[in-house]
Amino acid sequence: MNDSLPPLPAYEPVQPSEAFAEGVLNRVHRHRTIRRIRHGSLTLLLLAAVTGVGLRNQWPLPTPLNGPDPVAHARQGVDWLVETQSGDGRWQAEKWGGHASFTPGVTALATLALLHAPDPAPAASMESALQVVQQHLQEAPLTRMHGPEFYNYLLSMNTLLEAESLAPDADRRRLLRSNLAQLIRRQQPNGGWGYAEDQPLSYTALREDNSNSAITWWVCTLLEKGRGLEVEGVTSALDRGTDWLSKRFQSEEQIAYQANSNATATQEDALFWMAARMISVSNTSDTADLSRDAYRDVLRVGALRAPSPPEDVLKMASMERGQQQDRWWKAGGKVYVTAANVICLVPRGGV
Amino acid sequence: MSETDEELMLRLSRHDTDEALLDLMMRYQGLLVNHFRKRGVQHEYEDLAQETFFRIYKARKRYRVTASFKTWMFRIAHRVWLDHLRKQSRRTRREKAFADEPRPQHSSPPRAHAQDLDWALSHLRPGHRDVVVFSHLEQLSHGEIAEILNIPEGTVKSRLHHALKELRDLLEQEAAI
Repeated sequence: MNDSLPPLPAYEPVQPSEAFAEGVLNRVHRHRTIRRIRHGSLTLLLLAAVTGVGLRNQWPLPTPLNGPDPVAHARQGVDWLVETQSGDGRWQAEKWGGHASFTPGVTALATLALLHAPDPAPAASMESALQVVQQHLQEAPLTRMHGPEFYNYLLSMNTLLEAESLAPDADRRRLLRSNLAQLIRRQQPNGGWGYAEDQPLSYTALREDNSNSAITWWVCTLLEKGRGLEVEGVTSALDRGTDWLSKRFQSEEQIAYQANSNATATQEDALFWMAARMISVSNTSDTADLSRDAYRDVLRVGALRAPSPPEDVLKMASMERGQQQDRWWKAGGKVYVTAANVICLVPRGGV
Repeated sequence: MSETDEELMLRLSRHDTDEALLDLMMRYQGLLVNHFRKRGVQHEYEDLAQETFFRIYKARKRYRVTASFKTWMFRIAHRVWLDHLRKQSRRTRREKAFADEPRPQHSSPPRAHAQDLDWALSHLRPGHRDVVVFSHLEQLSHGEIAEILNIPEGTVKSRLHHALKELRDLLEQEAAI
C-alpha cells in the first residue's frame, strides 16, 4: 500500500502563550474548590433523594431572613392563586404570561402549592384543582417524553403522588400505579431515562447517550415518592436510575443540563439548575426527609437573598447567575412563579 | 532520570498535584497547540489545547497504564476536536438562522489557498482527515491511531489508503490549474 504523499506545504509551528499553563491551572483550582464544596453536598443530596435518609443538619441552611416574612409572602401567594383559579378548577397559564400548552402543568403546580399552603386552602378550590389534575392524567397518559405534554405529565404525577401521601384514594392509587409501571418500562438499558426517539432534533445535544440527567432526576423523584404504592420493580429501577445519575454527576462532561443553551454548566450551576427545576416537586410536609427539603433550601437561599416580591424571586435567582431565565418562567408565567415560591417560602415543617 | 509520562500521570492521578500536571503540560503543550492548528483551527487552537489538558486532569482517575500517555492524550484531544466541530456547526446554524440577508456562497477556495494543505484536508471526509492528520502530521503508528479513533487497525490502513489517494488527487488537480 502506497502511503506516500506528494510534498506537503509545511506548517509553521506556533508557540503556546506564556499564560497557557496558568490558564489550565486556574481552571483546575476552580474545579477542585467546587468539588470540595459541592461534591459532598451533592452526594448527600443524591443519597437522600433515594434513601429518604434525613441529613438535614449536613445541608447548608438558608441565610437568615432579613427582608419580609416568607410565610406572609406564601399566604399572599396562595390567596392570589385561589383568586385566579378558573371556575373549572384550572389555572390558565396563557392568562398570566405563560403558554396555553402548559396549563395542565401549571395547574398541577398551583395545586401542589395549595397542598402545602401555610394554612389549609379552601376545600372547594382544592377539590376542583385535584380533580382537574387527575382528569388530565387519565386523559393524557404518557406518550412522548418531551415537550409540554411530558412536563405536564410529570407535574401532574408529582402533585397526585403528594396528594396520595396526604389523603389516600383508591382510584388515584390505581392511576398512579399504572403510570409508575409505565415509567419503569421506559427505563433505558443504561439505567437512566431520556427523551424519546421522536424527540425534536434540537434535543439531540441533551440526550447524553439516550439518557438525560434532568429526565432521570425527575423520574427517580417520582419513583421515590411512589415507593409506598408497591409497584413491581420500583426499587431496582430506582437503584439503577440513581446509579446512572451518580455516575453522571461524577463525570464532569455530562453533568450539565441547561435548557435552551449550548453552554456546559459547571457542577455548581448544574446543582442550582437541577434544584430550580425540581422546585416543583419540593415537599414541605413535616417529614424529616432532606431530599425534599433540600430542593427547597437551595431555592430558599436564592429566594431569601432577593429583595423583590416572591413572583420575581426565581427570575432574579436565574438572572443573577448570568443565565437565561428558567424556561418555565416563559412557559408557566406568573402562576408558575407564584406557586413555586409558595412551595419555596413555606417554612420547614409546613402544613 | 526524569519521570516517564505514564509515571507523571499516575502521580497526578494518585496525589492530584499541580507539579505533575505542569510537567505534562511543559512536555506536550506545544504538540497539542500545533495539533489543533494542523486540524485547521484558525484562532482557538490554544483554547482547545487547554481544554484537552483540563479534561486530562478531570479524567486522571480513569487513566490506566495499559495505554501510552500520548495515545490517551490524543484520544481526549480527538474528543475535544469533535466537540469543537459540533459547537461550530451549531454556531453556523444559528448565524444562518439569524442572517438578515443571504450571503453569496463560494464553492471553491480563493486561488491563493489552492495548494494549502488545510484546504485539501478540509475537502476530505472527517474519518479520512483524522487518519491523515494522525499518521502523516503527528507521525503516529496505525496501532496508535486505531486506539485513538477506536476503530480496527485494518480500517485505519484502508482509510489512509483512500484518503491519501484523494488528497493526492486534490493537490495535483489544484497544482495543475
